[in-house]
Amino acid sequence: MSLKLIGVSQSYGNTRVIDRFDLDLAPGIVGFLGPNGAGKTTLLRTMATIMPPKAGKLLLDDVVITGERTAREARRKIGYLPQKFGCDPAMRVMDFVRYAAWMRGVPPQDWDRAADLALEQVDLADHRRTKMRKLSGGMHQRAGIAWAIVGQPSLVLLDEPTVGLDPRQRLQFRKIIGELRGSVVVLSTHLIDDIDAICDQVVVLHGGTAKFSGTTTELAALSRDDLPGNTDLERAYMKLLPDGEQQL
Amino acid sequence: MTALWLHLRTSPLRWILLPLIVLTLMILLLGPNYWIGIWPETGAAAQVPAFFLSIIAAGAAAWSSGSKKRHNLEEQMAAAAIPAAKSEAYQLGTSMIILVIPYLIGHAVAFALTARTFPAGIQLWLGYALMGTVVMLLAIAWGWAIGRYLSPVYAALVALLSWFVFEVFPGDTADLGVLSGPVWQQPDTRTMLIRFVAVAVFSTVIVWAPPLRTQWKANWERLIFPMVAAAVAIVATVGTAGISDRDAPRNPLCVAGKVEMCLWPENVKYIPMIHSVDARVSTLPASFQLPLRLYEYGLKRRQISYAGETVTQLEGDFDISEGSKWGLALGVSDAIISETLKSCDWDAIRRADDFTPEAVRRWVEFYLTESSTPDYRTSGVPQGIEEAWSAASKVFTELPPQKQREWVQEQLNRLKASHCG
Repeated sequence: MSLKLIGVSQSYGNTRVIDRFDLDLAPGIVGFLGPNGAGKTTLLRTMATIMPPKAGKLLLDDVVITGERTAREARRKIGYLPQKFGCDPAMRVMDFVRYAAWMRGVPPQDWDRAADLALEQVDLADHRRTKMRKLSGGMHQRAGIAWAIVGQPSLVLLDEPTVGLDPRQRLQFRKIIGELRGSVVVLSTHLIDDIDAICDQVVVLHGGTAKFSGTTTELAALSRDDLPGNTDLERAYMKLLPDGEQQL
Repeated sequence: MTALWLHLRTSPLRWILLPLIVLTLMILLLGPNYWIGIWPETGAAAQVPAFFLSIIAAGAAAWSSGSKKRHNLEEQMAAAAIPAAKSEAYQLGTSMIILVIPYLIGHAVAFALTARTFPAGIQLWLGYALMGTVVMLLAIAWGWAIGRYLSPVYAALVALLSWFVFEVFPGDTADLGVLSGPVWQQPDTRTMLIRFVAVAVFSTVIVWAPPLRTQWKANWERLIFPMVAAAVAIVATVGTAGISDRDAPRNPLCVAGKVEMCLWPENVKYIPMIHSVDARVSTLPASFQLPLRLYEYGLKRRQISYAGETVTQLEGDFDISEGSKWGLALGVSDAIISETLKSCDWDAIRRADDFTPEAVRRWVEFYLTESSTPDYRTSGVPQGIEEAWSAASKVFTELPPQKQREWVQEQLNRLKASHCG
């Protein structure tokens, strides 16, 4: 599995939010780190083939996504969880995940097996008959992850998946994501400790461009003691933001 | 598990299935039951709930159509591998199945009740079943289209109200639905086929038409297709006559008796009523002349000129549609009076404002039904006729049988003496 973005640009009206962005991803966990408005969600939506690039190319397994047909073919391999994902609250968890399997093009005979596997991965197997509205916040988020990973997509895109989770739930989430390393997992976040804990690679975004792309160790190496922050990653991140030092 | 079953078990409409079934059966079974035993009436009676169900269905379909927006699922749907039209088709199809099931259950119950005697004319039941099904499907497609493009907050209300207005005004003149299914009429097969195709095309277009939120290309210009399809479906529905007259049967069902009475074969259930009235006919005073044979409405035809065209007019001696014994007695009494006074100068009777024939006819009507309280209402009846009816009622209710016969004889003698040759 490989994902490439070559010179991708995106804009809303006349406002450019992604500017000639290049990225080449291989299996592993990649974190998109950046402040609000940095373009993380737009980039994920582009990778999910929901937003066609205004310029540049998106390639999945070396196939250029050129239109709805190639996009649909690519989506079979993509699991995407928006930040505020939706569900019918009256739906049972199992049906919610089966529905995702159907939408991903998983053959009907494999729905139950795929849904069971996804629910086991997120530790919700005991809640398969529970209605979505009865899930706690953390369980709800895990059900969302099950939605994204059912059918074992080779590219998993998670937009701010840890927002609203308590520390215990975030630890649980990290464990779940850590087990998906066989796929390309992209998660956007503005929480540096999530990146530090689980990501193999990090891309720091600001103003629609990549300010940094490399491993967390490489990012930490950019740290300077005089910069604000409690950890090397935080200090390095602040250094990369154009106005990082002034912010404090 | 199949995709259809997954959609059925998760559809937000599944909760209204049971209430709609109850509503259907209440409309069907709590009203008059004359339709049991006659296929066209059975079909029409089971089709009546479609009027109410389709209003609810239009609103429910709009509400269901907006569920993706309501449940914030649009982003996930946009990222689906399956074509958007396929997803939409399953959801619309599921809505159609769930919302049409109560209507079809009504038909199944009605079918079971009439199938116990299994009279002739089952194809007429099928025609009415199709008639209502088309109405239901069109209402659902209409609601779905509205739900697709309007905010979920308003869509259900707009769909429900707009469908109601459509049903009441243009739909009424186009026989979108019927209240009863007399045997001389039938749902027009060609019209039903045209309407069905129009609904299928409309449904296909709204499924295929992309949502307004664009993906890989702008879609605004493609909104024109659902709008055109909706217009075509509406024109195809209101521009066609849903009901047509049936050809008279070659061999009507003629019941021998004092007076032979011929029925449409589908009305076999009325034979006991025919026998009962004929038994009363046979005990009428001998001064009455009886016709040899009477025909139910629609069994006789006459060519007339109307607006420069020759049209076929349906005729008959009596009408027992909706199972009214009074309808039968009215026709038979009228035929008996006509036969008895056939040598009379009717113009002279009218000029003299002599309402005696109507008084005697009314008495015969009471006599045949053995009651003086008709099951029909009249209004705007001329005063002379009203008085004649009152006189007949007084005679029938207050005088002993022998005195009644004497009164009848006296009326006929007087009439014949003054106006008959």
